[in-house]
Amino acid sequence: MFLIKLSIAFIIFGDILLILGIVVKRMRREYSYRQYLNKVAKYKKMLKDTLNSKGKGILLLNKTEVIADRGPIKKALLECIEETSSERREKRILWLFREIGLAEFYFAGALSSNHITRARAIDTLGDFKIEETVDVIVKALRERSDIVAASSARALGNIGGDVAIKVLVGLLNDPHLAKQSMIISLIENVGNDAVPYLNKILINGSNSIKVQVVKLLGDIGDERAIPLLLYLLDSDNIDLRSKATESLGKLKAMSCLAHIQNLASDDAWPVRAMAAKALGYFGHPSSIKFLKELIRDEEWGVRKNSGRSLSELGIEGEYALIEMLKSVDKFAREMSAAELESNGAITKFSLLAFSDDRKEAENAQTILFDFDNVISKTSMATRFDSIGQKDRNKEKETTGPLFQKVG
Amino acid sequence: MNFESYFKMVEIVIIAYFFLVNLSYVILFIIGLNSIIKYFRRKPFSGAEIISRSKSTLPISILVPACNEEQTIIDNVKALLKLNYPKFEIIVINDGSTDGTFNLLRDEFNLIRSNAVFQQTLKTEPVHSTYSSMDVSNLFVINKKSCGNKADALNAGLNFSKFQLYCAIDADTIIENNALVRMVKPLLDSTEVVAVGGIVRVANGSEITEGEIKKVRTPRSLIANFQIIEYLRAFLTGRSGWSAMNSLLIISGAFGLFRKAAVMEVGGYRVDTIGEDAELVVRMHRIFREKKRKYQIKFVADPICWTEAPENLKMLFRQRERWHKGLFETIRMNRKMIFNPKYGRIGMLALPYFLIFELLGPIFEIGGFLLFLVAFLTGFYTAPLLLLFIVASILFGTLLSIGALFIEEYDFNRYEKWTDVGKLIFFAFVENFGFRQLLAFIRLRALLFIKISSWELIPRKGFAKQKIVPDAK
Repeated sequence: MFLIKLSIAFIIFGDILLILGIVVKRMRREYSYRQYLNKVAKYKKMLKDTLNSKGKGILLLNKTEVIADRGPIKKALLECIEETSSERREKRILWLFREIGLAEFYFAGALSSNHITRARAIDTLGDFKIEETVDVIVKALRERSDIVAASSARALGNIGGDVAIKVLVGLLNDPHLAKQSMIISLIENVGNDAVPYLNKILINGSNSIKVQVVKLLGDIGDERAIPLLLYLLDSDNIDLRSKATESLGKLKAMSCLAHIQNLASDDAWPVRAMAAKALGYFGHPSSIKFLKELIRDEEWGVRKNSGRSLSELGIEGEYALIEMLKSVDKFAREMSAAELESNGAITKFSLLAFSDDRKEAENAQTILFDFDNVISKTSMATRFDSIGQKDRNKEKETTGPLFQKVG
Repeated sequence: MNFESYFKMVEIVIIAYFFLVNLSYVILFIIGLNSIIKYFRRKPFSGAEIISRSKSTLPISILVPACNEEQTIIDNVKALLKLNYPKFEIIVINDGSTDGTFNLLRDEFNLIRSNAVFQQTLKTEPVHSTYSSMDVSNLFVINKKSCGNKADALNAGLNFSKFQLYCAIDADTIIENNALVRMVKPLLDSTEVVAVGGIVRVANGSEITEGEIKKVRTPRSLIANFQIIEYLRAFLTGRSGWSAMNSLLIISGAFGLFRKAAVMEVGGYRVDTIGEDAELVVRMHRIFREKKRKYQIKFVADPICWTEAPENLKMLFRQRERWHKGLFETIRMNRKMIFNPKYGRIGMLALPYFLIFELLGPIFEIGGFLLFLVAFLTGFYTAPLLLLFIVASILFGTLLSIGALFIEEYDFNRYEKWTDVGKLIFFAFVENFGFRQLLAFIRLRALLFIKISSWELIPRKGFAKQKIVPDAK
């Protein structure tokens, strides 16, 4: 009996404590949020006055005030940077960040023993692009705490500049997946400035890093990458060859068109698949004959990419697909039919089949007849299954009917 | 042995059960609270902004199985199309709807028949037709013959999907704009992570415009209010606690993100169970542990998915019976894992917990209630003692619910109005007077008698008919 009474007393105490916790937290949050907004507005006005009148304004604040209100001041500075389109004005705001002593405060925070404080401070130093802190940030990158390391990578991305980019690119060698994926995204944001450093990795780096870099160069889209990517087309590594092909396609490097067209006969199917894709990016009519060849390929992935690329080549590509409906090769016929259907051409011809123009109607009916002929005998796949990119032999091992025809 | 000795024995079992179950709740609460606090401390450094704009972020296929969802499907798809994520495709699997689900979709998004042909890696019922949208390039609709099973619809969606990651959601749910960005983080961080679950919360009563939650409010319905407390308790303490121990057994079918290769490896969703979501997760644990594969299944407390909870008893009965039957089937299908050290903490801790405290829990709860009643009637217990027991158990239940509300207030703070928070604290007390006992009764009934049809056709009120913000400027 006593034990039960004691437990009840404890539970009631716990209940009251939690309810009080909710009420106090809520009241504090509402109060401090109102205070915060007022302060941000106050400092923003002060900042704007300082910037407009070139007077002392915010500089008159003493250090204690600055440290006590660092949150609202930081927010006000960042909002002012966001609102301004003038580079000079932005530089002046960044200068004010140092002058009022916040840079110094956050620099000390970057050396704090608490990892959350370190991460926050490094983030802020990145936001205000304080280049002198690059060394500290680089050190922090090697920390065990993943949030500090991530903040450091982000800060380097924000700071930009040669030193930061060089460090970021160097970090691509980091085996930690989380860090690596973030670094790739950050380099992507840096954009064209990172290209010379990425090019260096293409010469010295390991193959796995090179593959990442080749993809990045394609996404960044800087023509300075073309010579090295072209060189990689002769690499022994299939991954590198195929990624370089794709990236050159993304870059629409017309000088490489002939080279990529030649890759249509590469021994490795991933390279052929990417060549088919790249030819679609180029969109040059001279690629049609190569794509018509590739749509007969024994690999589904190559056929699929060729069909898609022919679609992207406009009316000439569409004619090529229609022509392929009569091909002797079963797989070419099927992929052409699938592509014509998924790009909406078949819907278009279904309407044209009832056109007043007799010639046009007859032409459409012939195409639809050929299409139906292919579809009635088909067992094809039009969508890539990222798991089951199986070759013809392996397809037999799948469960259930091999492909599902709908409609 | 006389009646008194038997009674004493049963009494000890019941009291031991209540002690253990409450102890486990407290432990889960502490672990859950700790992991949520950690998560929110780290959140500003998660790089969500970078993920949301990077081309390197893995694209996601969002699978939306829909069976007679005309009330919510348009709002749901519109909300999905607004998601802040670099690349994704939405695949609505129309599983033999007999209402206007498909027609609404066709008219709203200008669908045209594409009749795609695709590889059937997982065996499913036949697909009649596929449609793509003329207006949005990343929306696809599959019309398939229904086998009366959501799992089959998901498998068809999996066959059709083209990305490495997929997110399974219910058609009656609304996902918050940044939910995918937050949810994908663990999958980007480590290849060991094969699945991530998010938090599901009750949308009833909230202000919703064009599939977006504008203001989180509490509903008028008593039952829906009780469920708000229940969902908060289950997700904020239970799931985050299990996830911290890498023993998460359930990822809600309403909102889960998976690595497609891992799901394909274990054979996709099983169609012979109605608890396909939990069964898939438990099977992943089983198979990966048998293969000695390193893997992790995570729960992230922040990406929020809002769902419409049933507001009447009939629907609540059907939903809970289905959930309990699903749990029973999941445990039955993976019973060899229970108390099997080969399966580590899943076999030795998580599954036995779910078996004893979740599946068989209603037997003890109703049994305990009857025992006290009998004890009181036969004079074994005096009225004050019985009253103290009842007060203790009610207050303890309240403690956990208010604890969950505390976490909500501390970390999420989604209810802006004081009145809503006050209302929820009130309901955290009131739910102990009937609602929790009712749930125990429903679960017991499900366990003992009920055979349920597979797809749960709960008539929806629809988000559109909830409070609408007059002008979202």
